[in-house]
Amino acid sequence: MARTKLGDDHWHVIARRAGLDGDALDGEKIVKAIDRLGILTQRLDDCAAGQSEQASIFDADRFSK
Amino acid sequence: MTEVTNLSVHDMSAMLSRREISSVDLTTQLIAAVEAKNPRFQAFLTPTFELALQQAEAADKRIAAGQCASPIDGIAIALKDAYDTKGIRTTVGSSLFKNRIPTQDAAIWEKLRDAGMVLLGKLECTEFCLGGPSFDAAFPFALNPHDPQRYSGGSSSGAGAALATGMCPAAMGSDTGGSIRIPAAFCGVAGIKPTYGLVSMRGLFPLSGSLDHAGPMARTSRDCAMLLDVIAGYDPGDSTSSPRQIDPVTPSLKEDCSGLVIGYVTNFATAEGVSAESRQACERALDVYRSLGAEIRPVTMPDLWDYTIANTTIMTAEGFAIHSDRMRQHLSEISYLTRHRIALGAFIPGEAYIKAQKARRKLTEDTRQIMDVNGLDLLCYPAMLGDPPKLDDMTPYYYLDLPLITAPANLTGMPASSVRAGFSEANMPMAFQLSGRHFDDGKVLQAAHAYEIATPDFARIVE
Repeated sequence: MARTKLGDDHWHVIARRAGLDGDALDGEKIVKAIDRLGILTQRLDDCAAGQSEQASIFDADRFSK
Repeated sequence: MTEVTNLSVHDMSAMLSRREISSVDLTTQLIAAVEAKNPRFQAFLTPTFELALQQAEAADKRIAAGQCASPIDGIAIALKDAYDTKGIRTTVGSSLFKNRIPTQDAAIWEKLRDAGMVLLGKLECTEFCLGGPSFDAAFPFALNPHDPQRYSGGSSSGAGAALATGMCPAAMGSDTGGSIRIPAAFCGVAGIKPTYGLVSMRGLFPLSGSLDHAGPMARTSRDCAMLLDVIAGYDPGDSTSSPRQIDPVTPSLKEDCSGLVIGYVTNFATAEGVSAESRQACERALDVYRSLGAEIRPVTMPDLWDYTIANTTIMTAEGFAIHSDRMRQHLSEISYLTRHRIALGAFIPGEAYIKAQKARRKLTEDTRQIMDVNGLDLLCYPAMLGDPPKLDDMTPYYYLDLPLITAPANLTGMPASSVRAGFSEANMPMAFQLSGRHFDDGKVLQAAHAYEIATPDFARIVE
């Protein structure tokens, strides 16, 4: 996944779009966490590679059998 | 002499059946233990003593008439406050639910009640079942009985603390990223996250529908087996419940492990953040298994970070979907730590969620294949990175700094137990995990039980 670093303004916009009151959140901590999560989720590219689109469908029965 | 309140479910059951004690006497002594200890450890949020004594009286009548409902008839249990209990306040640790009174019982409580268990009360859980205590939470969080300055483990923290202090012999927890196994490990008790689909989640407040698991906690794995035998079973009222079920576990418990092949997951045991003490505790446990007749084979699984990040991505996205309306309307009423953790879900793109689910399928298949190729019955690896963190060191996003060693079993849906493994230099409990193939919960508990019988000195109750 292409990753862009999240700026202070950008997180506020996304929070507002999601209907969240950005003032009740610590923006600095959120931005750091989003960036960290962004780095970590790049690992999913390799893990998910070669899987069919249907592999993303959570099916409890098929999953546990 | 061991206090009766500190006995296992198994031993209490034997005493009740021999009429050496009544359920009312047992319950009365447990109530006294809760009244004496709870102000110190804060494990019980809502005691239900009056109901408990009524249920105990009814149990005594059944036992006297030779009509025992089950081997756990007349024995007390407490439920994590995320399980709905009809007519009894169920808060999920949130101020938003401080007066919430469910109109239905959770499936698990229906089964335990029908088996004759006595409800001692509802146990503290961190808000919305997210692990990590928040200092502005609506309710006081349960303290680690071994060191109140350290985390008791979450989110089934009340269960861990209540069991470790002899306030109750049995509890029900839930586990989305380790919320049964972490408090069990940090408090020095036992807990199993069963196979996904084995135990109904109806009436359990959700955190992440595809990762949540309901399961038992107790002071021994044998007790967990006795509880699992009651709560397992297909439930048409839960879309994730599997028609595939298992034979009762308790009758198959034994004290040797001959013929068992255990894979020691070396890359989990040496993963980033795992302390030498934690790894050595796991390796000492493997020595015990060798002496019990098991064969140990070192094995390498996919990177622990891969399981961790897929689990965290799914949990955070699904958690935000569950709580988005609450987050929009009541953000400032949700505790600091919880609202920050849930808010992260608003920033996870759909693409990342889909990839995490694909990764989940791949990691599940890889895990199963590695077990097949190596002829493994079970996997063994540490249950904790090291000693429980100090409460002052915990931040909202601490879980992004290090891999989560309990995540693989949530992600794959495989059963996993936390088994106590002695004490660290800081005198804190240590633990390892045993994980098995889907629906091999019995084998997990058999091996955990055999180890506990071979290491009786590791059992300790905090007075």
